[in-house]
Amino acid sequence: MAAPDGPGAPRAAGGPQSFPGWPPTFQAALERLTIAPRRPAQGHYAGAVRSRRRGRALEFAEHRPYVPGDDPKLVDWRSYARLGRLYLKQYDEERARPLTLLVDASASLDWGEGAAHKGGYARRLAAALAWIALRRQDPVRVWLLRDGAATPLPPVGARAEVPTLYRHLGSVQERGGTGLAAAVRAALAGPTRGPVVLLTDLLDTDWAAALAALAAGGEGTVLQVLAPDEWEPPLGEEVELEDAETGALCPTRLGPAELAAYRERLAAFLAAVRRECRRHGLAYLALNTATPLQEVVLRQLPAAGVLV
Amino acid sequence: MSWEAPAALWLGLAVPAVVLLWLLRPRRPRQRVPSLLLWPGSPAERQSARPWQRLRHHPLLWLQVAVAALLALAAARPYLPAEGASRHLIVLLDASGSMRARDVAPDRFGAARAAVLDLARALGPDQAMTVIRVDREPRVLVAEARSAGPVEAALAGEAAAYGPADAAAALALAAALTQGPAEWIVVGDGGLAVPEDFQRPPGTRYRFLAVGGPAANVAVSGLALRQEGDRVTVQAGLRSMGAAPVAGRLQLLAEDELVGVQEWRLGPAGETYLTWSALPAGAHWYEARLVGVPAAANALETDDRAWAAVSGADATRVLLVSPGNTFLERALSVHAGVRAFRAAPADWPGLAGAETAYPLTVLDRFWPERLPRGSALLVGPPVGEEFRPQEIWPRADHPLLRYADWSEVRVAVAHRLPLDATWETVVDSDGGPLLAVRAEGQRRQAVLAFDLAQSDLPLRPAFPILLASLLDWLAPRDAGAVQAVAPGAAVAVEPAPLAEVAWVEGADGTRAELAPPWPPRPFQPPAPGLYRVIQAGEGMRQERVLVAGGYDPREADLAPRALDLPAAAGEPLPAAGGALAYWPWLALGVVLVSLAEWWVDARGR
Repeated sequence: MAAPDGPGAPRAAGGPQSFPGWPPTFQAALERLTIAPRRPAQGHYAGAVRSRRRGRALEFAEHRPYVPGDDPKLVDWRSYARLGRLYLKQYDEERARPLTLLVDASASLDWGEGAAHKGGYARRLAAALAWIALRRQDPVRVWLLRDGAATPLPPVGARAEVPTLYRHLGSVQERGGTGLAAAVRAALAGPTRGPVVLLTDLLDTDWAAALAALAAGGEGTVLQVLAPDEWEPPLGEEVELEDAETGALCPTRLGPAELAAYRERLAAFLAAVRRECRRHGLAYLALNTATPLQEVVLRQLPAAGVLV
Repeated sequence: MSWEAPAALWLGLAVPAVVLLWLLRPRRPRQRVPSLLLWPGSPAERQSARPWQRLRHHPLLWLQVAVAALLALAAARPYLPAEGASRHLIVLLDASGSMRARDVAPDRFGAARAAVLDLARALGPDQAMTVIRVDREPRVLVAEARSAGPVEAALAGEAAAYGPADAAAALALAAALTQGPAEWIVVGDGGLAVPEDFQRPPGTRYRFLAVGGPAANVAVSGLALRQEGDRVTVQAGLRSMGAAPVAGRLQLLAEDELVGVQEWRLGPAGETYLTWSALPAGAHWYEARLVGVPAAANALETDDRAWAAVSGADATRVLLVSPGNTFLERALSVHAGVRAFRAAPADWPGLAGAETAYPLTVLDRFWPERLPRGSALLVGPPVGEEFRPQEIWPRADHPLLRYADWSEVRVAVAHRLPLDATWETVVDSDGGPLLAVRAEGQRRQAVLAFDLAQSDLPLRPAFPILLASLLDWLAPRDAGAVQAVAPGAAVAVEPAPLAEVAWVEGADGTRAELAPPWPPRPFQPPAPGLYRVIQAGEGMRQERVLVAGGYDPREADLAPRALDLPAAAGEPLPAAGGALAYWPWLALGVVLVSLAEWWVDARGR
């Protein structure tokens, strides 16, 4: 495990199961939230979310005629006594909705100062979503995306295991390239049930392919994390911009004309991402890391339908 | 196109230097960003970590290249040698006598002056004009004037001369003033006598602005007189330069008194002579004057009069004070212009008071207590110790020894004379000077330190030559002679012995002082006419008559002539001073392009 020396390294927090950087009352506020179901739960384990699987649960769904091979224990004998025909009672099983968090850990996320650090912001947000999911006993799986690969963190099935998850998340240091599409495909290679949340800046040339791969994995949500300086770069002199991931250089002048061109390209980029997410049925929200995490989690994500 | 400073073209290396600077990757502060995905720029540039970059077609690049190129061109100072509009105009203004012809108003010189002023008023901003007056002594009236004002001021008081012009000197002056591409403009009637082998400098342009047209003229081509006893015969020459017959009268005046009139008639380009015989003697000078000639047939007035004077040149009176010297007496008797009178040394005290009657006194073996007040030649004065010269050293370059060969001359005995520093040794010896001269004001003295009988000099061919030179120097022979000069020509006036003042009187009574201070300044007759040069002193008065004729065959011919000045082959001269170059426009271009570069750069910020 990497040494906890990144911007999002664990620090003293509100409680033993609080993620470093969370406001003191934030964790309590999360208790009121739930990951919004966008389709019935398909988990293997019983959970708090009603699934489409009919089975032996408490909530009656329907009757159907008995066919040979059906479990005799499901026969509704009362109906047989009254009607003289064999019927089976169907119930909606409440199954778990595992949450998959795909956290971009490339070098482009290592940007920003303090609370606005993109990587730390994404990890704090991921920790919040995990906490929300675990409140409903939904298992949480976190993947770190970097260099075209996906590295899983230990799965978490209960809140008792949260400190381990948070410790891992807190020790992540963003570095390396992205290879976002390949990394998403790698993370979603197995059978995926439940919501998948991609936390990334999408600053990758194959971002569209990554969204397509995410859409193929199920009910996806894209939370695009951008730092304030990426939303509105400051004016400056002639500089040589260096790509944090590739090391490529770009001589330019941070003059009004260049910044105006940047803003145009950013707007076009965000519009394209939004359009692509809509096409794939993905929930999408572009976030400014200058926005307090509480504001995002408690207001913006519910407003976007990601949380309820 | 030529260059004044072609070495400055090396500055053109600034152009590739500018391109090189654009090829080099600028050293800028590096700023890390999450991604370059949203920043403009070519991927090739982004991937390049090399110290150079691909040349971008940026307006600033081309503007900077233009500035560098224009700077190099301006520093090299290009100019157009001959075809360019900017040039030095060198105007040769004909001021010879024919320019006084009145076939155009007010006269040809006035028309030429107006033409020069028109040229001056049409000067461009980078043009300059130099005006050379072409007359007997050409001179620059105004040099490199850049506006009409100085030219007008320089020409305001100018008038044509009366005689011919020295065209060769004027052209040489113009050539000396031609330091670059220039245009020569001759303004005149084409009557200048240009040397046949003259060629104007290469690269110079040439124009001839003709003034005047076909004009007729009648001139008194000469006036001569001969005195025989108490009768005088006067003959005048007439010449017509017109294409039509012409008639008129010729008046003859004796000292302003009309003594005769003759009518005459001349055919085209005709010539005739009119004679007045048996005129009573007594007049000192005569004047012939044309009258009754139609103005259309006589455009030039300056040659309508001619003068002749009766020569008053008497032989120079020389007093020889000698106990008897055959050599001297014979030499003086054969010398033209000398009338010698002999006296014995014993008679000298009686003659001393009347010595002023003799401009020159020759003292042979005689040393008076007081030397004559006039010029004197002392031969073998018996003063000083005797010596026997073994070696004789004549000054070969002295004008008094010209053509006199002293190589064979021997002197047996000479006297070491008490000569002070005012004496100039002409012939020296190992014992002392043998011939010395000095000039004190108008008085001149020469001394031979040996008796002629003690030398073989009188037997040598050098003796009459030496004596003639001495007599000419001691008593100039031109006193009293009539001298014909051209108007405007400087006439040297030899100071007469005993003269204290010298002046010139014109026929109209005008007077011009010549001396003191001595020697007299040269006299330049301002106009055709008769002038008397008078030198006077205590008991003496000497007159010399100058006749300044107004006729010159070339100036009297008023037929228009084209004047061509062929150019020498070769490369044009380099431009001088940049006045004819157009580099200032390039410099202005540098400024404008620099402003455009600043604007483009500021707009991009």
